[in-house]
Amino acid sequence: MKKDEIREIDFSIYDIRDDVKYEFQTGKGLSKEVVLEISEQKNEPSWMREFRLEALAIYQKMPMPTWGVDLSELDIDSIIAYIRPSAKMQRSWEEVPEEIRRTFERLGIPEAERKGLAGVGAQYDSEVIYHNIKESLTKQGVIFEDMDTAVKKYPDIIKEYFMTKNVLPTDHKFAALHAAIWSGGTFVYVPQGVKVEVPLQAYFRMNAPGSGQFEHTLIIADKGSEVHFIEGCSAPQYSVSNLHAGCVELFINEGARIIYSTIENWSKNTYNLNTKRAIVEKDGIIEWISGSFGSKKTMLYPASILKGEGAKAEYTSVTFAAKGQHLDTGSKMIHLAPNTSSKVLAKSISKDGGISSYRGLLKIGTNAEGAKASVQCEGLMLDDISRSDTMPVIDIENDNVDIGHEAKVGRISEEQIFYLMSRGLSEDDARAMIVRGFVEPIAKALPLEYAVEMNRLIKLELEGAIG
Amino acid sequence: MLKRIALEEIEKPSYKEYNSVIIKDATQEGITIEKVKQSILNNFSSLNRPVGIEKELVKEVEGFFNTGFYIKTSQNSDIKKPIILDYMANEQNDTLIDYNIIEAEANSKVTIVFDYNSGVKGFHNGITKLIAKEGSTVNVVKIQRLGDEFNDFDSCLVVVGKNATINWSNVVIGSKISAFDVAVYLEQGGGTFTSKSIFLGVDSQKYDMAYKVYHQAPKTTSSVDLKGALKGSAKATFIGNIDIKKGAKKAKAEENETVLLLDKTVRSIAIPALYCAEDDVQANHSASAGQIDEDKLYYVMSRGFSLEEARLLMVQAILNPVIDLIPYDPVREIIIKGHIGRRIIK
Repeated sequence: MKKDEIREIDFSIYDIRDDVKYEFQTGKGLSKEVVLEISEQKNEPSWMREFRLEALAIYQKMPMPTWGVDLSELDIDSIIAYIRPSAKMQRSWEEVPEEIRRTFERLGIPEAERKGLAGVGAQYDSEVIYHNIKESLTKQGVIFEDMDTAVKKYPDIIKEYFMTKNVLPTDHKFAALHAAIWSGGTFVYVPQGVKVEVPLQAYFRMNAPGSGQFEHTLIIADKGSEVHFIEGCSAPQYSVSNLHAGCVELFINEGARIIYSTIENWSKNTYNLNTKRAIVEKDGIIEWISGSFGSKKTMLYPASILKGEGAKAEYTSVTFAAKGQHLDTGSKMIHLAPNTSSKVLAKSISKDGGISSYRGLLKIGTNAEGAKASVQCEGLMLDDISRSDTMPVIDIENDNVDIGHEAKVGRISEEQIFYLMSRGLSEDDARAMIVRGFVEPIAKALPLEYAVEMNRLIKLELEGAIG
Repeated sequence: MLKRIALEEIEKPSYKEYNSVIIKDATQEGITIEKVKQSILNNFSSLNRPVGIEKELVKEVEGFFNTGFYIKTSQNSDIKKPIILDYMANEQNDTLIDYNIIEAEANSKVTIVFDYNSGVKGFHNGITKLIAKEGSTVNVVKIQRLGDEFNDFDSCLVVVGKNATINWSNVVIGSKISAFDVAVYLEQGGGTFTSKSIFLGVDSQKYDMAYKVYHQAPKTTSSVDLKGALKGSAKATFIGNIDIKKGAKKAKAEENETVLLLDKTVRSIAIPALYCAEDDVQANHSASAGQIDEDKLYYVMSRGFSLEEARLLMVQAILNPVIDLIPYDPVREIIIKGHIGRRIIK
């Protein structure tokens, strides 16, 4: 590993701001008129409009969370709730307006689609501008639609599942906000027994300054089916705050399996207040894989509700908090049925005054006989001005369980560096190598392109300090 | 955060005198023990820092303490025999509100046992503040074996000076509701705090146990180890905070909780938090919970023990190492043979 190699990588691609014409925007702030306007623009059925208005009322009543990250600088009234680029949703990249296509090409999305994805959705600010799925999957009955289309095309399913039995608008303030002004996102349905062998991908890009992105992802995996969904997020850096308050609802039916991977690289002016939850039925499996690098403040706690007997959940994450960042993440594992199992591996790196926090819940209910759970948290501190905090809650209401929790914090040991240097590496290279080794379990779990992207992000973050 | 004790559910007694404390081995060279009074407390304004389970409870002790002692060792003294504070409860003395101050002068050594015991129904609320000066070694054992209808609260503050060593133990087996909070300030270099504690909760006992360890100075060391067993519909909450402040370079912190779950109806909550603002440290915590290993039970039973006896043996295997630390034979015997046995085998 040569030093120049690290420097060669150009990371400006994430930061290029495009000069895109916007056809419509609601303007700053949030009101009944704004919500009605969004619904109007989308030409939505009345039930969705009513749902939005109800959620707005809940949002207005709910208090801001008083724990976690400091949200005092977030002024929701200065966020543009809805902003639409002058592009219609397309099924081929050629038809996407050039300046937007260029952005996604720089991010490598069309190339990745050609190489190894079963379907791709690309969202630019509030609207999905590209959505496509391989024909062979459509033939098997797999649905992969952008959410706005799905509301019109599959109203019965959406009406039944959309924030009604998984994440509810009443859960917290940002869930209510999301419900009121959501736009874009993806709906996936995998029929019984169908195994989608190559991953589906959604890429979310925020371009406009001071805007919000509120995409909704709903995945229903029917009995015995399998799907791997990948989401990537990025935005250029602005001086004003952007807000991302997305929502992910996963339904995993008997024997089904969803792998949900995220590489989040929002710019460092973004508040990332996201809600993700999976309900897992009998023998179902949910695997969360997550890499969080960007954003100014993050509060994200993917929840796995193990409802059916033998359901399994895994959460593997790496969080990299650098200067000015406070990333507060963790997992909620809720065991409600016998013989359920869960496994958490959360790694964090803090540098240049960054704060990374693990805040997790492990709950074993009275019916979860024979539940097994393990939680492992590791914090790596790269200097003495950063912070690494771990706050797990373990709540057990059953005796027939096997629970283990472990956490440790420390820095790169001198012995390790000394050893590597004795093998001919420079000190900087040795440090970089150790950091890469630290995140290896997560890199391994990701598809290759994403693992490469994650490694590049880590290298970028380490530049200056290491390497 | 989880709410700790629902104070509104607790019946607060009206003020009453308490006169049944006995101190064993109070007269030894190098140590003075006197009844605590406001004029003494006034000298310890440096110990006025956040402490305790709930503000309300702390205020009550500060305003209405009806017993308590100021224990002071002289410099370089080595107090050979442990000091036993026997806080006994009975029908006449069922309201025990104690305020204790321990001041260990430089390079002194002392062992102090607080034994809150007996009675049937009553109320205990106490504060114990310990200041350990340079190079001193203080061993503290706090035994709570009050009657089954007691409400018990104990707020402790420990300030550890330069190269001072504190060995701390909580033994919690009594009361209906019992909560303790130990705040430890490792504020000077080289200070060490080691806690080895146990609890046994049966029937509908509710325990709430917290250790909050603040590493404020370089080369400070802490180790908190809590082991316990829960039976019936007992509930235990464990809060363990390790907070490594900036400047605490080369600090070492360790925390471990192990809970043995003996019935389906128990409830165990653990919140082992780790806050770290320094990179050159070693900090780790772990928590585990589960049933008694069936293979072990099977083995013991194959040697002729009944299931209950075998379970008792397993519980003892967890609790005894800490009970053995109690430096006073009669109490140790009672706890092993009386309290634990009676609670596991009904």
